[in-house]
Amino acid sequence: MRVLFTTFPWHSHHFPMVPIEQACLAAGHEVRVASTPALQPIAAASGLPFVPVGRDVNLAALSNDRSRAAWHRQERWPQDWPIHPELLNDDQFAMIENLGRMQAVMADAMLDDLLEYARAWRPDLVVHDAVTLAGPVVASALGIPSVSHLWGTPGPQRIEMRRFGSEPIPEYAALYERVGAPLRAEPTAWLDPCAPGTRYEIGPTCRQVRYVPYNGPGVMPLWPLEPRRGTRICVTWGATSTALRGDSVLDLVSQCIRAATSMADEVVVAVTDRAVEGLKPVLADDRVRLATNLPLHLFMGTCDLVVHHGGAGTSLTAALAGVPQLAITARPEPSVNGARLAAAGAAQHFLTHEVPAGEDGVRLLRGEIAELMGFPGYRSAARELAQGILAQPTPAATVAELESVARGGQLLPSAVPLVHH
Amino acid sequence: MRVLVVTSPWPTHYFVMQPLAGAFRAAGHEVLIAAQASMSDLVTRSGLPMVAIDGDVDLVGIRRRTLSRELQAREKPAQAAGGEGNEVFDSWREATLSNLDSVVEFASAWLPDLIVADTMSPAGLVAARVLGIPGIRHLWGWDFLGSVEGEKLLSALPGFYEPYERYGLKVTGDPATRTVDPCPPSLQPPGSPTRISMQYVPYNGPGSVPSGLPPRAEGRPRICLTWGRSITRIIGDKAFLLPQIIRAVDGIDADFVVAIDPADRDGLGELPPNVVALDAPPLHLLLDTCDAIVHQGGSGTVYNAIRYGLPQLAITHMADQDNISAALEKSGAGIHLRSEEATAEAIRRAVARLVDDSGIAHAAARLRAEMLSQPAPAQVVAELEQLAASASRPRD
Repeated sequence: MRVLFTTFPWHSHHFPMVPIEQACLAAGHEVRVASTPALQPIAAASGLPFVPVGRDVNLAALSNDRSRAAWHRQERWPQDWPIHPELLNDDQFAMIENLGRMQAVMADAMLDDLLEYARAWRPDLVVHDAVTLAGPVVASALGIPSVSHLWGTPGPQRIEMRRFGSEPIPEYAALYERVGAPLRAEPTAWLDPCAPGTRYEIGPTCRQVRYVPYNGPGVMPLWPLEPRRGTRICVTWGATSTALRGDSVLDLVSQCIRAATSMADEVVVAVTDRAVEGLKPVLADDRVRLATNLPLHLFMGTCDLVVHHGGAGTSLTAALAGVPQLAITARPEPSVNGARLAAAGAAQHFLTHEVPAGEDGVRLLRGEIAELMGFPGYRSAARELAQGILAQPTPAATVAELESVARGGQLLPSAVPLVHH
Repeated sequence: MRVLVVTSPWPTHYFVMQPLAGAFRAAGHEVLIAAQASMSDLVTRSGLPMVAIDGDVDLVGIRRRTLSRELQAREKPAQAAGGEGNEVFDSWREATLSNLDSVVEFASAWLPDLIVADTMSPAGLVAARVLGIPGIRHLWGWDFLGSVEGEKLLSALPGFYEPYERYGLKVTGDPATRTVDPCPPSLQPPGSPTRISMQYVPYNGPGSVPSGLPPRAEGRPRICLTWGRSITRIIGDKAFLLPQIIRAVDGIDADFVVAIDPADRDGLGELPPNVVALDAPPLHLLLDTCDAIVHQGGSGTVYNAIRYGLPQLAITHMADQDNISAALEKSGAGIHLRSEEATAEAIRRAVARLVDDSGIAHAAARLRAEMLSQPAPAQVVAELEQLAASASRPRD
């Protein structure tokens, strides 16, 4: 079959789809990965055939515009809000719909080219990142099934639907009108790579798929295979948060590194090249090992703890390695990752503004690190998360589900009852 | 489980293994590609992580050095196979074994459950023997290793078992547990029982679907012209036949797309209006919009063309190209010209047949169907998983 994958041009939404894309190729299917040109180097480096469509949109600027800036500094939202939208207030909904409008702008920039390419290439199936709204529009226009692929944050995250309900926001509906296609309010099926221990139930049209880390290209160094000097903590800050928030996150990362170096024999700092510049003073500590451009999964299993920003890829890579986590998050979406990991007993979770500036913050983080490293319950909860992930069908095994959806518009009959955690 | 894939510094050897490596990853296994540092850009931009292995082998340089013997062997293959003081075999050992200790050392530290190695990476098979795990040879193209005949030849080569003896291993017969072969079986000599047939899945390096292709004219065939780089790197510019091919097809009622490395673009000169040149996109992303192809007879190119059911004309210079191209011609799906036969008139006649001769088109469709009926890499992974699970593996 021919499977057209599409995502908006953001690595943290492309990376989680790479394994299922590789799996389709490995099963002998034809695959294309479409996004705007900005994804070209990232998609091509992941070994996948890329189709550039539409024009790039400055997402960082859109995300930080005045109406959306508050998204980056939120108080704690109600517990389990992704599946209990009734708990959200009007401001919080306004913010979510704002994100929906941002993705509609993105979809608008992709739609014409994507549709033109799809009409010429004639896929049997569209698999789209869950918030990449051009995907379902094109599938609807072609009259073929569409599968919504979650990126590892628990919950369906339907930012394009008013109050997570059945009514689309006008900007989303307008995309369908523009190409004369009927609204597709529900994807034909969902794929969810979340850990069973942290995910939210999506429903009978969803299949869980084992998270397989793809963290970008890299050459494995030999140090992860060598005996450790003692305890090892990884401090990593995702490329997304540094790209969206620039240098404003560096103070916090510095605090984390300082706290970690005072608590462990070795601290692996995995950040972007750009962040290294701003972190120079704290990186001078001889316990620090710098790991830029190194895929996390190549060394995560050798760490006792990982301190991070709550990105889905980092959270799941650590969960798969059975490593306890300290997540310090800003936006509501990574905060869901942190909160769910904490609820599973495998992590502690803070919001960025809950960590005071300067020494006070370092002291607080040191206390949390001592707790996470000292109490074995975190490690066993983390291992349970890992076992849950490993028990799920692999991307390779999930190809049969996609074949079924492409053939008859339905998933395979579910043989195993869904396990609730 | 952990899978170590050892590749020689020959890009096409890696490209043909990449889909199996990706298939292991998609099945949830840990995968590392072991290659010399000069390959790091090529490997890391293929979606898989790499570990750098010592060594800086210049395969092209070695082949240049042995070119005259290789060309001699092309004329008299029987004389060249085996025998003492075989210069080509000595060079082969030089080309393939300089990384031996480094591969064994890394494998002993990382402890894979299975090793896959291309034909030019026997160190991977040695490492598998050292660890007591399955060692899988992955063929890159037309290759009789993995055939009944090939097994006999290997064990007769002087010094073939030396690298095993170096590690105190007594090995007889074929050291590979299995040989994975992406060639459609009808093009290969009969396989030994350890040969695993695998569907060729195209991977031709990173890239995008080509832009700048003019829309297809209704009822007018589009023919791809391409020329591998290895052949000119080994033999020199005289083996770069694209300019002659373009002149030879002048006047044929078809559109031609030349997929060419930007560095070679100037060598083409001015192009007729029905010929466009593209900065070489990954070949398969171009071929699915073409009706036929003319190329240098590289196995990877032949497999790509088979995958899309294209009639092909192969114009060859070296023995490995001759072998696959002769097999292709025998199947009826293509035409083979050795370079010395490739006059302008012969090329012109052959290209005209590619688009007019329905017999070739039918045979190409048959060959495509045969390829698609071979087990996909995902299925081969399942078979190799079982093999690894049943192998007794001494640990610590």
